[in-house]
Amino acid sequence: MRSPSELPSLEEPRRQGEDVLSDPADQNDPRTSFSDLVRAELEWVWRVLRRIGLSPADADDATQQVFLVVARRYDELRVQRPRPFLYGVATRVAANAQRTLRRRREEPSEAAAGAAAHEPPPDELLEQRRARALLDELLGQLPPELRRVLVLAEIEQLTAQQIAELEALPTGTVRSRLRRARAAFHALLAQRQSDFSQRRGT
Amino acid sequence: MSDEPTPELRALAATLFAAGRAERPGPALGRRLSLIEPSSAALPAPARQRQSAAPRLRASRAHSALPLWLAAAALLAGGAGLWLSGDREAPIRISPERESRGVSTTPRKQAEAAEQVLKREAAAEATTAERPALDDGPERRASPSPPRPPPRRALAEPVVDAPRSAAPPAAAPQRAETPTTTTPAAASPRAQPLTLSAELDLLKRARAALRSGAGEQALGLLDQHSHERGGNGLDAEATLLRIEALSALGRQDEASQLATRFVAANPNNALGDRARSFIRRAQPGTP
Repeated sequence: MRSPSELPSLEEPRRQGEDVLSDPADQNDPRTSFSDLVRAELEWVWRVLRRIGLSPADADDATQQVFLVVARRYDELRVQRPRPFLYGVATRVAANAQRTLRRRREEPSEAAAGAAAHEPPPDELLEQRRARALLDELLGQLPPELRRVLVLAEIEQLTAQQIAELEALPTGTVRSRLRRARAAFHALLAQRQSDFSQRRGT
Repeated sequence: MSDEPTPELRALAATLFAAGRAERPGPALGRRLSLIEPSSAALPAPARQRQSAAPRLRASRAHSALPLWLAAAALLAGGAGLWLSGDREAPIRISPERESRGVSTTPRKQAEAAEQVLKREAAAEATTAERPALDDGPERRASPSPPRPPPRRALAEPVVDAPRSAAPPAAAPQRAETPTTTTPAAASPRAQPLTLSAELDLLKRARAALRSGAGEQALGLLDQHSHERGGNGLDAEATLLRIEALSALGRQDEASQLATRFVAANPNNALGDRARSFIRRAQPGTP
């Protein structure tokens, strides 16, 4: 078992491209490889959960739940690449959480959730926060299936093939959804812009 | 709106996507996740490393007996589902503000600081009565051990109450020797129920102590657990750890008794297999 100092850092940049789906867990000790997996994939899982519609705090809870499921099925998972499984669990967990949130209907706003965004608040981060609030607002107006492919493509920068694997869809379907998603997102953004300039102008 | 977005629009969209990409979870999440162990890590390497004559609490067949943590994780996943679906106050959640108050340098201190926060939340949690189950899909159904997430204040299954009746007389003095157990909860006169994360952390520390050969310390932590247990469905896990700890300390009789009672009380529990396996090893003559 490796010592913690040898474990890959959370901040370790992940190369985009073909290795993005590769299995980081190849050690023999399941504990070590599990914690490696957590380290390697925690941010990814959390970010996907965030962008498919959970508040930071809900994304925290959901990420924990995802890894609890992973822990339970770790033996099966180790022989495979983890991301498709992680993604499948994450989307299901998110769907459950969102159902609950809709029932409860007291969804924390990004402003309130901003406190939980875990970042120091210099100006540029406030800018980022506003950008994220807008991003989430626009994404929230997309149908979920379009939202997911757009998030995976534009935010996670995965290829259509990689998205197809995660979504268990034909690549062609992913491409067409992606086209529709981009068009819809741009349309929403343009709408937002023109609303804004109208308010400014008149 | 034309079909082709303008370059400005594209740039703006790219900015928004970049902002989304830049968001990171807080450090508290990493700590929460560090409490999770994979199912296959349930049966520890240290059992092989330590030279103890005590029979190990190990599954006799790799696939027949669910490893300890598989079942524990299953229970926990139920719990996590409850957080998602339960009331808003209940989830174990460490907000950055609260966390920054208690943050200190060592992992142990951090864990204790987090525990303090969690403990406070336990009070709110204790008032939560109704906790709908989360449909966790095939995973949940695939796991045989925890039939349903328990009501908050109830035990997941009729766990043998042995932690209090069998071991504590001998284990109680050891508690004073274990500085790591001096959490706020340990100090409080009437312990509040542990939150799931705190309970998990406690058991994790007990397991770590056990693996490192500090059986008495492990027992001390388990005593603490038996006083404060949170009704998170981890009592069976704690009992099995106690069996293992007693055994590692050479207190075979107590260990066997506890294992026997555990099995009797949990005939269908996957963890019961482990206890049965322990009994078989401890008493080769019995079936």
